[in-house]
Amino acid sequence: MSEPSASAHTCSELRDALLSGEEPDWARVHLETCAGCRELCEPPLRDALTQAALRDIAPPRLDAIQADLDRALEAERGLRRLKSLATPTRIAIALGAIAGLVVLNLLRPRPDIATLGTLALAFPLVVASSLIFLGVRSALRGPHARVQSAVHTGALVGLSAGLPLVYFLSQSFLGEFSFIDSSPGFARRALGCFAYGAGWSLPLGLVLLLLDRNKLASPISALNAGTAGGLSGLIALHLHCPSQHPGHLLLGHLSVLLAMLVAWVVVRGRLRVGAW
Amino acid sequence: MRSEEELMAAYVAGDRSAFDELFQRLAPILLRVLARQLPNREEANDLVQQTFLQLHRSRHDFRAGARLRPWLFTIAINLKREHFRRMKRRPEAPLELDGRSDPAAVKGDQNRADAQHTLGWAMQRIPSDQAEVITLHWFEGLPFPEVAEVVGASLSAVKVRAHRGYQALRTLLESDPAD
Repeated sequence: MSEPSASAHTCSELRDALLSGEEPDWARVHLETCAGCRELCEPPLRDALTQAALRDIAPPRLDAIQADLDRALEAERGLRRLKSLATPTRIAIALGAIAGLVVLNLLRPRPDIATLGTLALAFPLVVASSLIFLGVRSALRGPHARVQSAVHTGALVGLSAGLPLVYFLSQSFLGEFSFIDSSPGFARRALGCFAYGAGWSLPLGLVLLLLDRNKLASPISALNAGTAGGLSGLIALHLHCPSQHPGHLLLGHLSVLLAMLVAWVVVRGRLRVGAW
Repeated sequence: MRSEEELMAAYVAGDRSAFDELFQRLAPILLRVLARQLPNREEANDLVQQTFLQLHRSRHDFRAGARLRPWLFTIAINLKREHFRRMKRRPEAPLELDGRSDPAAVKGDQNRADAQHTLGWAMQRIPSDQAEVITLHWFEGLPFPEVAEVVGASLSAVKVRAHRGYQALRTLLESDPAD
């Protein structure tokens, strides 16, 4: 159906005329030029739609809804007010948490930072921060915004896991390391780094929970939040751990991202059933 | 009388009474839209309440110069889709906004009740994206550009959905629901 060019009256005006029981002269002109409205005006569709729409005039009772709404608005205090900030502000706060994470980790940096080189230090940070921005932006989108597609989210998760994976595996080709490490303490060091990375994922996770408006409305939101949280853990590990051993990087570092993805899906499930 | 956009601007500026007025004006419309696609009054009420809670939380995201109604409908439609996803189902039968569901409602005549019942039966048998477009276009009188904005689709896609939806409805209505 299209707004007719030959008639000054719109489809909406025709609808209103039909609902009021009129059929003015201009309606015929409109129907001649508008195939969509012509389709609507053929029986039995016209009768059914008109009668059903007229029946809708019954006024609903809003008292109970308003009472519940007043209670909900009354509860919007303290930290909950963060949810009401404008979306760009909420995104800026989340990115501020990442900046704080970088600064704090630079206060006690990895021991080889002086010899690492600016590019080797900064490049992973820039890439990870860019992906975090995309994840945070999607996770914190307003309820009025179009839902991000599953393809878009899949690409973000794939890039976030794939880029570190390629980087870590390349260490075994470019470096002098073999993937298998049987040295004593390998598992302990990997576990230590996993705990460190997971721990540094928590601040961003907490910030995202405080800023989220709708209990992570969709699994896509949870995956975006998990990606951003996991990448923040990887940033902390990049600034903390000098190891370039691919086995350690995969088991102690990349595992943080995977664990965060799983954790956020679980968190979302708990939020949705009202467990928290 | 202030427009809905002026009321929203007043609420963003801190006027709580503007929010109450918006609720009185728009909640009945939202309730109608949601009730057409939900199986009981409680779920429709809950989604209307959530929609206004989200309006409150998102008030600083509302752009000056934008129209409020499509913006609010988008929130409601997104919440409804999420509700269906959580329930892993579409409703088996829509809520009927008539005297049987709500004793205080104005009673229509039997023809209208029958028409609504039959149309509800048919609306459940067409794809939900088509039903969504028909609800917004026919029952709420939104022009297609606004419907497109609300459902997050292109104008041409919305027109195609409406065309197919109306065709499917006519086919269903020409058959006997009792069969």
